[in-house]
Amino acid sequence: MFDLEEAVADWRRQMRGAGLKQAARLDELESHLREEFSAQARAGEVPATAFEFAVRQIGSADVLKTEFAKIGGIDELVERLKRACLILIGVNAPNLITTMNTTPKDPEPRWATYLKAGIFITPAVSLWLAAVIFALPKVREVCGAAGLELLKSTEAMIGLTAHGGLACAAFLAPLIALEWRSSRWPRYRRAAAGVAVFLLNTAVLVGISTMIVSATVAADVLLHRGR
Amino acid sequence: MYSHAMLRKELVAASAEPLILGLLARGESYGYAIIQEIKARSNNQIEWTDGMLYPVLHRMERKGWIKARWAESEIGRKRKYYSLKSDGKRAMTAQRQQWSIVHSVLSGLQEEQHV
Repeated sequence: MFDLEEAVADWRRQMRGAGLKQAARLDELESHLREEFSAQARAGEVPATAFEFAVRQIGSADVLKTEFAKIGGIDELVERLKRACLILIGVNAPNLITTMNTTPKDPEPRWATYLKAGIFITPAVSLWLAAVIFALPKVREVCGAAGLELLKSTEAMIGLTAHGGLACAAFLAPLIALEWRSSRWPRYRRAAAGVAVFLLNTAVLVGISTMIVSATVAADVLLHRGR
Repeated sequence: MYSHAMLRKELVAASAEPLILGLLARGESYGYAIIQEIKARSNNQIEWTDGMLYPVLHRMERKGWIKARWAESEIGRKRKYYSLKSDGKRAMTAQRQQWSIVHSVLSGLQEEQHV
């Protein structure tokens, strides 16, 4: 049994899949599709044939996409930026906002996940690098004078920072392998990136805190010794 | 714009804007109706791939020639209606003049052949 709503939803999905993503454009084309379908049905066509004819009349998504792209200009750019912003704040498929009867199946796009992860680790990474470069030599000096050692975990983090290139490679290699080979990875990408960002931020927080605690304890020892 | 019928596609593409402008000068209309009217008025000799009308309409809207609004039809169907703006009227006059130049040269040549 032919279901018009299902057929229209399917057609929209195909158009989106072929790159015709703007909801307003799809809405207008859909309105046209329904008009043509009704006209054909009134003329006595069976629904499935009427729909097929209407789809053919609209034309293929590839050709339409190319024609729409020619419009170009600011509107196109604004629309793209708006879409990118919506994706970044977690509205997964803004093109689906107007079609309440379909549920988005695509996971968050790869670029959005990695961009967000990048943005969220930037403050922590900058702070950690600044601490290691500017504060650490002083902290070591103070601790050395007081005969104290930095915590093992902090030393491990400093060691990792010193071999930053190697650490990055060790982290990126499995990631690239997953992106390249695993078909199931996209489902877990967002969660994995979230966990990794959380762990990294926590590590930096703990690392800097232990540095401050060590320096404070060492200063206290030195102060008592001075007296 | 792509043609299945008699008119060459270059000609169909070039004539799309003046035809749409001329049609909208008679009052607001929407995509499906525009296509049906052009088809009927040309005795099915101008046949557009329907979807291709919309990029043209959107381009004309961006140029400020026409404006669009969504409305519901009498049977509750959502339609995007287009209407002419004053810049569109000026564009229509200019395009009509250009087409009449081509038309008059062609007619003149044709008449000479018959003499």
